[in-house]
Amino acid sequence: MNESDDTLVGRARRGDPDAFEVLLRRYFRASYLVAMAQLGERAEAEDACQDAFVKAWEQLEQCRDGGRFGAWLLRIVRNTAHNRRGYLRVRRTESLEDNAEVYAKGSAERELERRELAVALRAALATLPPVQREIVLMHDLDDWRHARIAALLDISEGMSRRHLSDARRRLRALLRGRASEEAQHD
Amino acid sequence: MTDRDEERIDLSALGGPDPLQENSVVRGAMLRIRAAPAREPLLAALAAWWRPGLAAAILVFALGIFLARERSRLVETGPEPVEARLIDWVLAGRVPSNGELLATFQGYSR
Repeated sequence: MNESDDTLVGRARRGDPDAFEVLLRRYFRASYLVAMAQLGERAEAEDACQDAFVKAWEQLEQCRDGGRFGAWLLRIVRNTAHNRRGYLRVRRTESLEDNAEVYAKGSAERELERRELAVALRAALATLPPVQREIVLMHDLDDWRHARIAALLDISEGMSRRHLSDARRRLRALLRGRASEEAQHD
Repeated sequence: MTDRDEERIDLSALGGPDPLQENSVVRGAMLRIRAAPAREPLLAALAAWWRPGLAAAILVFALGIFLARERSRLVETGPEPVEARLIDWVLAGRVPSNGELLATFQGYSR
């Protein structure tokens, strides 16, 4: 049976962790994409999600409208990821071991290309406003519909389409610029 | 216009969410949640109500300050004896006796 968010939040508030787990699974993809939009890296996004989920459990009494649990949870994920990004900015150093591992792999060249592309995508995404980052990831990476995006991000469908269109235009321009720079170097 | 009118951008190099990852992240979070001591109902209630409670306390405090200032202002400016007595009764929450009422309003010109 598919229980509503409101019912599950009510059960979780009364101390039922199983109900909370159902909610987390329901909103995991959205949470991960929102964290990715802030952090750009899989492992960091996963850690941010996990921390945010624990925080959400601890602060569940502050979720006044159980029917809007998804939007409430995403706010916590967004804040947690944002704080983590600040922390990482201070601490980040490129790990030499990571690169060595890539070269040791059989398909090293392909893996390197994928990593370079990921770096370029991350850099391009970082130039977008946060809401556009979230929308383009939800739509183009995870195949979401605008209706669902709009409901979770508290915006209209029209605004979601507009943000997506702006984000794509900007990303294309940046990635095209990068491609032509590379061609000149070659 | 549909969702797919424009060509999408291939972001797969970033790695989208997958079921294995969902399992590991959600399980990790649930392990931490289950390992934490259960929330006390009293603490939970406090967590939910501390903001409205604080707002109410500030309101009561401000009202108290206002009444105290008003009273001292009336005393300083030497109010009519009738008003001063009325304020005393209100602040003390006391109902005056008939005798007190007669004595207070004797000669009151309104």
